Amino acid sequence: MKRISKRILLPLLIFVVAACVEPVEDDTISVQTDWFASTDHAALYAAELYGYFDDRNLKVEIRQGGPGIRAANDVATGRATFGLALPENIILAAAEDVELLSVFASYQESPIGLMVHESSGVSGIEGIADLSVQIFPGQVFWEVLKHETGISPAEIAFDGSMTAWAENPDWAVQGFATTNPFDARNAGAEPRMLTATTLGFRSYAGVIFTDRSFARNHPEKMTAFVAALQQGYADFLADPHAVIEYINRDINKDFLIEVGEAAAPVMQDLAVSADTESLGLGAMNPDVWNDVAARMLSAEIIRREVDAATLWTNEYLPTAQEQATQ
Amino acid sequence: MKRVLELAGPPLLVLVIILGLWSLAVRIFEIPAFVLPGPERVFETAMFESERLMTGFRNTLIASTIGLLAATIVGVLGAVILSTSRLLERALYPWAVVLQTVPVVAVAPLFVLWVGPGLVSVVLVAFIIALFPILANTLMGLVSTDPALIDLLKMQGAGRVAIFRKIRLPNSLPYFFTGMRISAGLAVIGTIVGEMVVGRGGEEAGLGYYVVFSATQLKTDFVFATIIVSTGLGIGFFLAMVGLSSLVMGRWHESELRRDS
Repeated sequence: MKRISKRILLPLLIFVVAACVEPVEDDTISVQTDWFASTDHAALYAAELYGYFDDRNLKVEIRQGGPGIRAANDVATGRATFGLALPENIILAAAEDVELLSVFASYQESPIGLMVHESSGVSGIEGIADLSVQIFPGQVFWEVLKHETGISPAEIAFDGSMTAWAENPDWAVQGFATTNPFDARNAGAEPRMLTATTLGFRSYAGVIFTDRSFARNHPEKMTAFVAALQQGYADFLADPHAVIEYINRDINKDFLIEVGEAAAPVMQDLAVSADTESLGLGAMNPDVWNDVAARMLSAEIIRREVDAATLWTNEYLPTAQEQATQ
Repeated sequence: MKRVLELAGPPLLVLVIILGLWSLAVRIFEIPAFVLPGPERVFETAMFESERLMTGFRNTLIASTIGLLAATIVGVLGAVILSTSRLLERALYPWAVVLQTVPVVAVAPLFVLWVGPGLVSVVLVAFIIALFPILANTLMGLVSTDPALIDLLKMQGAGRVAIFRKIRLPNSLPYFFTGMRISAGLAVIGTIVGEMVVGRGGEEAGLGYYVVFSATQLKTDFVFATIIVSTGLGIGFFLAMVGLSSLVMGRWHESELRRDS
């Protein structure tokens, strides 16, 4: 009995006590991205590469995402300080009483959409009705568009591979305008990318968010972090090559330089808008948030109204004067 | 009625206790619904999403049934063939083991290329996962017959077919049903995995498709509802096999007679 208690109960007790003890809080800001490192996370990696986090005394750890990683869950449960997701995810979380706050939009227009074959001649949502659509189940932009237009094409669960789509000219596949057309051409297809905006659903993408209580308790860190992101992103958009090389060399060898080079010009278009012209990179607009939230409610993707105004802010963006001195 | 209560009472009581503790834990520790929704909320969501859940249940049931039937036919035929010759068994059995160890999630996207997405691909995944337990158990039953019984029949002039029909086949049935009980649950799991990666949406969506759908939309309560329905389906398959086993062997095999006494 004594031996059992030593061998089993003692380690169990140590485990339970260790699990109950609050982790020692350090100053590291962890950022959980939504996918494996690529230029879609350029603002973060550029700030890291050029030392803009260090300049502001921020210790930042960027964690790559992947299949099954849901940054909103990680931030809401305290496993990460910041996350990267779509505004739709922030609204979905709000509908579940999770208080997140978006502070920086990497894309003013989401690069997410559907990729069709050039030969299909499809250029809008009406043409999609006649195709089979390979898509990750539950994508908000798709569910909203289906609800609003009444189309119900055949749907196929997307496994992340473009191979089956390349073989089927009457298929559309979910894609990212920045990187997937390059992959498709490599697979021998002639793709035509229809972004969600083209299809009729404008939203932001690559939105960086945190827990609202963190923002409330650490305003200086918030301002410094967002300023570093903005400065890094501006440098990347002006000259993407160094960041692409950095991601490929030090972060994710599977992210090919050619893919990054193909993505950069697309990003230069999608990262800017009238709002970023006046307020700086990363800025957001209430109309977009309100519209997305209202359409999600109307499509019954969320079951209760959420106050979209509480889910985002531009207040941590540097002022024009601060931007000039960066 | 008393018999039903005796059988179903204890597990139902455990279920009630688990639901009570679950509900209590969510309230006491104020666990957010997106981390762990309470049973009441899961029930409410299941009602709200009943149409999708019914569609998913129907499609998963169909694919699981076809997958299990295919695995049963191929598994039994394969076992019979392998049992006829040691050489055949040595040549083919290792490949059955290889089939079992294939990472089916990784292979499933290939099925889309070969046979297209939807039911056929999903059934293939279920079939691959469900095949081995039936094959291995039935084979074990067929080859582990008491040699004295076979000698007895040979002395009476029985041929291979008669020995197979009168000795080997009845002897293999308990093993076969053991395999079926394992494969019944595996067929449902295989179907759900298949639906997650190669399934179709809309009217053809199965429960696996809705697991991904609800997780994408951060609806943990819907994920739970889908898992509970899937588990119910798996239990239903298992019980069907228990019932079938009892029907076939209830009057003569020790394992079934012992259960009845």
